[in-house]
Amino acid sequence: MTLLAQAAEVTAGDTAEVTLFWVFAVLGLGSALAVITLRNIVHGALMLVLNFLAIAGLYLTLQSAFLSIIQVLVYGGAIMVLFLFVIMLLGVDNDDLLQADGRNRLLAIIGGALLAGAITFAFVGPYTSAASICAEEAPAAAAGQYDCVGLDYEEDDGAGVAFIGRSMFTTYTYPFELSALLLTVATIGAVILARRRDLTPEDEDEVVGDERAEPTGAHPDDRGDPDLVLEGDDAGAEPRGEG
Amino acid sequence: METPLWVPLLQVVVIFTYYLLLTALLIWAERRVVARMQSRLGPNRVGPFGILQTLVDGVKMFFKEDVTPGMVNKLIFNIAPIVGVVAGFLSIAVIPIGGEVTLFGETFTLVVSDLNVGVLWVLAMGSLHVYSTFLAGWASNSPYPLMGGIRSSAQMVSYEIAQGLAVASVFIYTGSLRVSDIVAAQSGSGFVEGVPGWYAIPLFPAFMVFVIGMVAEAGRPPFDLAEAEGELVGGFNTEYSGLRFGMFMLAEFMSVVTMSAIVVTLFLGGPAGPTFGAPDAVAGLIGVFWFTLKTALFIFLFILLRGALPRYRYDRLMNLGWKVLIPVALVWTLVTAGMVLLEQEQGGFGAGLRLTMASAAGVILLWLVATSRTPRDAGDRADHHEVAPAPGDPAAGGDDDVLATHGEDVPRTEEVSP
Repeated sequence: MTLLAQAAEVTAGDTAEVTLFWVFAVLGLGSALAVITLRNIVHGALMLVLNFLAIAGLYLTLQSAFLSIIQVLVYGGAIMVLFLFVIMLLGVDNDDLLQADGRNRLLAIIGGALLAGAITFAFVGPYTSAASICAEEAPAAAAGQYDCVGLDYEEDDGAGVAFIGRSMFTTYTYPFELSALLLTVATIGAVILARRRDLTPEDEDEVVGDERAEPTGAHPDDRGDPDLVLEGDDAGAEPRGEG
Repeated sequence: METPLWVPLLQVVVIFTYYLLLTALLIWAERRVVARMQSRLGPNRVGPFGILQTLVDGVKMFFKEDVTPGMVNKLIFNIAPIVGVVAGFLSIAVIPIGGEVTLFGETFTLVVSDLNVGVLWVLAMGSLHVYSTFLAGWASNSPYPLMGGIRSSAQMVSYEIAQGLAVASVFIYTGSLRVSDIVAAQSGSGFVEGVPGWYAIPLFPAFMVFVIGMVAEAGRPPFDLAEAEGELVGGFNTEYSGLRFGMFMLAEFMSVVTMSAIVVTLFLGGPAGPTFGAPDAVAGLIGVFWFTLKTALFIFLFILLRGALPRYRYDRLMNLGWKVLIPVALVWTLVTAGMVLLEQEQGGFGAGLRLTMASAAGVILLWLVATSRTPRDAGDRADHHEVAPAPGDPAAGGDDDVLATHGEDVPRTEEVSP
């Protein structure tokens, strides 16, 4: 018997935890499918928000309230708002999307399948051996088994905060710092790529004719009124005299 | 011991009613106070001092025709106001409005749920609230609402960071994310006997950052760029009418109450206060009184800000958020963490040493802020073209009370350009 079999056994029960698991699992998978199938890009992004919330729910059933709330706060709140922000500012048209031809599509499917297989193998692999079984009873740690405690450690605050903090800043310091470095590099790269060529822009005159600033492009039933041009990232910068 | 079902039900109903009442009173109080500041009378017809005006307005909103324009994305257009109200109500769930109350042999605290990640819950609901204005702006498929939505999302995301860092120094100082722990840690005396141990004193910079950030988070004047009616008609809610517009108004005013309640809980001790030796059963209810009083003070501050200050310019708002508040909050989080760590290593300081250190750090920080010049960027060059607004120019941010009737044109001295 493996941990997976053990988990399947637990899932066959009829507790609130199992019910919630099914609700969030179906929600999460369904919204994930909707993200890649919906043709309206804003609807897709909103489905991604729903997906993040469902994952947060799954974290809750795993007794990790901290991870759950961080998922809502960081991914559901900040990151997705920035995503939508960019989508709306750029006004991505539906026509620009899903232009993959047959060969690209095949390559994408193969690549996706390989990646999914590798991730599944890496994450599920350790839990297919008999040694991975967690012990329901307390003294089983002697037999080389884990306790079935999850993130709800006894010495912890019940939310997994201290446990995650300790792991992140002791055992996994280097991966943590490396990923931080990676994000910084990505941010700097984005800034450099997006930098304007002319270093002394005329703020007052650039508004009209700025292509990025077409406001309603992302909308499904966009009427494309040419008179309605949104100011770019300095909206509201015109002098008002009320500083 | 099993808690009977009526206890959580009572908690939910009591707190829901409490916040709804406070919001209704806020709307009335705001119109009266702003009217007084502008030499008007304000609503004074319904009930004593017009106190029932909000109720009547609510009924009016409810029965007005709710127009859905043809060009909108209907589903999201309908969801957006609901998201705002729901997120607003959910965020108050972790805030205790009073101490322990004993009723029919059951002892419970006046809070919906004392989560072990309570403080983060508040922040998370605040970040979901952004979707309300944002999606409303987008789904309206109309340029002014879209601009309002984009402004508000950028503003809220920016100020969330500063606020989150300010809150971080609170829970680093406490060592817990649980709201009840934070409230308990602030009860009793602080550095000096007789002075309450509120976090507003040792964490003063974080307190200031939070107070400024909460005005921006709530989208209230002088930071109500999302609905700057001089520039954007009505901002994100331009296309809304009837009940759904009412829900936006409710969400906005509720966020004022919520933010006031949160700042009181995190920095001013929540329901803590003198109980005058009352028995325990009544002491919890006295806590409600103190909590309401403190919250009302902050609500009053919100109203005064609205009545007194002209609207901030958008690029300045961003500069304030990113170049002043976030660095201050970041530095203060580090200082707090350092102090807590030092204290753990040393095994506790004397109260005097701690007070000296905290005030020295605060003075240095304020000095840094006061002397540093924020680098001027492209947006600030507009300064050179500034013109004094013509009197009565709607763009100059005059009376922005959407509910109140627009009275006579009151001259406002602060509209003179700097």
